[in-house]
Amino acid sequence: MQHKKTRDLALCALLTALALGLSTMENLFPVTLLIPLPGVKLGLANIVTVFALYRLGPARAFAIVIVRCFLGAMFAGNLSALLFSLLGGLAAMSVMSGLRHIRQLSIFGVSIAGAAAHNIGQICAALIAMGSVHVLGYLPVLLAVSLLTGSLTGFISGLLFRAMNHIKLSH
Amino acid sequence: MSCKPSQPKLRPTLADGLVLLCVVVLTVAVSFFVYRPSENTGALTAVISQDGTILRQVQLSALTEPSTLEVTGSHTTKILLERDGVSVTATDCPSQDCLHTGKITRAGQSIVCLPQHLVIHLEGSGGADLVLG
Repeated sequence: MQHKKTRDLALCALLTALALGLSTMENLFPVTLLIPLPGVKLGLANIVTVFALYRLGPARAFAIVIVRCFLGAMFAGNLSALLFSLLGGLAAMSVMSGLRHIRQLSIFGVSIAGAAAHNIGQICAALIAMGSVHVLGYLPVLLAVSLLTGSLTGFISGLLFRAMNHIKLSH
Repeated sequence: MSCKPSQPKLRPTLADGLVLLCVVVLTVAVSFFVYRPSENTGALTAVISQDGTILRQVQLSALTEPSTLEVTGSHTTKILLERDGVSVTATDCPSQDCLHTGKITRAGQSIVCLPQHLVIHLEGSGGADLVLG
């Protein structure tokens, strides 16, 4: 029992570190140079959320998202970014954790919905932070982009699940 | 509270198409709401606001020559106001997104600088149809 608990903790820590690494890496190659809008990201950290949701369950995925957001904001030294990543990350988490129970949906549908939810969460954060409804003007573009980024992360997650099928994580 | 590991479907399904369609519909619906075509006529007014309060309101068509405006705060941003649009020409904020947005020329468009809580928004001649608190 103790053994399993330790493994679980280590796995969650590893996934959190991986998510942090992915979002830091993403910032080195900003997509905003191609699509000049604040908030446009590949959302690679979402791959970790998807994986954790399916393999470890919503409680641990939730913990990973929260810790990732706090550490990410701390490393970036930018507290106002915390609201954006928290609302985005949690919106994506909740939508995906609901949709994963729909058997007809594949990893692609779940990822796309997650990416869209992430952007809606971020726009909500922007509404709160900026106090201006004009930030809504970005939502259509962000949603359109989320179709692409969601498909991409869905595809990568698919590869990950295929590869991990041969590896037993817990027990 | 151990959760049984589950395996998602890995190949795209018909239901995924439905999700895609939902996002597309939402995109169109929001853009319809935001970029109303009626706003696109007449004189443009640039509204520059920070933290939800309006700093400056400039009627672009009344400009005889381009003018610049500097917004200071946590960062410094230079805004170029011209008869046909508004652009950010320089900023020292880390993301530089507002700079990359380029020039906005149509009513309904905006430039947003997240680190500074700065919004530059173009309105049509009808004036503000969205009143902010």
